[in-house]
Amino acid sequence: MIAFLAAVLVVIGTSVGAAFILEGFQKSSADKFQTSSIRINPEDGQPPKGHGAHGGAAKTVK
Amino acid sequence: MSFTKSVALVMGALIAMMLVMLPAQAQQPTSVNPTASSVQEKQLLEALKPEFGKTVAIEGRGSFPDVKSHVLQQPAGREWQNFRDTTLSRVGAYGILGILGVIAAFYLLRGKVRIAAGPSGRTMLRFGSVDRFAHWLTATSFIALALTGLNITFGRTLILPLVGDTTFANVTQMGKFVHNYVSFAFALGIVLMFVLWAKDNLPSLRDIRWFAQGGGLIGLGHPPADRFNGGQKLIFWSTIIGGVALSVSGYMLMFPYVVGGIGGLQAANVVHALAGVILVAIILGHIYIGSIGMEGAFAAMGSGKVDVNWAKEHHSIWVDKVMKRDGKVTPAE
Repeated sequence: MIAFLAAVLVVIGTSVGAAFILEGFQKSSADKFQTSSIRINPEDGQPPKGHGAHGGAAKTVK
Repeated sequence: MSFTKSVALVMGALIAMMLVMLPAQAQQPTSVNPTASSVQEKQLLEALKPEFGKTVAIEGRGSFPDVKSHVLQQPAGREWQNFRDTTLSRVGAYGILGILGVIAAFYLLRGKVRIAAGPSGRTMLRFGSVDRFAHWLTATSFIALALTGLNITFGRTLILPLVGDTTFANVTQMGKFVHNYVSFAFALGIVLMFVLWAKDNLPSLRDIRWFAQGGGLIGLGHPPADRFNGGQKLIFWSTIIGGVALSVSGYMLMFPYVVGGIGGLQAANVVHALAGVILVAIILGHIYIGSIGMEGAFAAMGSGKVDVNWAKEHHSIWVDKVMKRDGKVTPAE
């Protein structure tokens, strides 16, 4: 019984731990993608100037 | 101008034209040019057929830094989708329903496998607390993974009509998170079981005799076996190999593009789904024989202590070794 309860606790513990680590990993990946795709102008390779240049709303590049 | 001169002039002009056109002809690519107006749709589809070991795709140039977004068409994806939507569902349904049918038929024909000599009233330790911890760590996590995984494959057909769109979407989303996070406990359990039991699960000639005699489940008498018999070794190696295949393919899917491209992800998905369905079918048989199918079997992973008569019937060589080593068994409580 103790072995079973210990196993269940470890399953819950590792799952909660993995959830914290993986959510952090996914958030940092998403931040990195947003930074590189929104803040770099594909035409000149420079960050867009003006509103939205510092992590604000996405700027549309024509 | 004479006729001969006129013919010579025309021939000269033709030769000059051919010389000019030759280099242009040589520059034509041998593959299908998708922009040529004369290209038939069939030719394009032929050219896009996936080749073994090579992902064929129509790619362009894009402004997104992520070059994966530049793939416009990947025909191999259709074959994978067809496998996932039809082949996998059929193989999975037939496999799982098939093994449930075999178990039901076995129970009806053979009934519960009793201890032939009856319970002795004395017990002996079969699995210590570390062994049982490893077993339940793998078992509980596998049940969570199996239920959430089967929901991904069959939920839309079986559960969605019963609970409705909103509930099914919420349950499936939760299930997806559970499936991802619980996988680490399962992988840990697989490693622990391998470390603890691989040595005693190495195949031997005795296993062939065990299978030839039906393992005591079919027919009369019980073939001699050491700590693990042929059937248990089969379950053990299926779990280890299947568990490794599930873990590796699962982490490839959980961390996409870390190893391999889109072709690798599709291959990982196929391996993950097939290994999952096969392992679910095998473990259903294991659960049956370890619970209602055999008298005295559950105690091995419940309290860890089994009845001596049960042990003598199913693991006679192991009992002799333990008796020689310890010289006694524990009286029943």
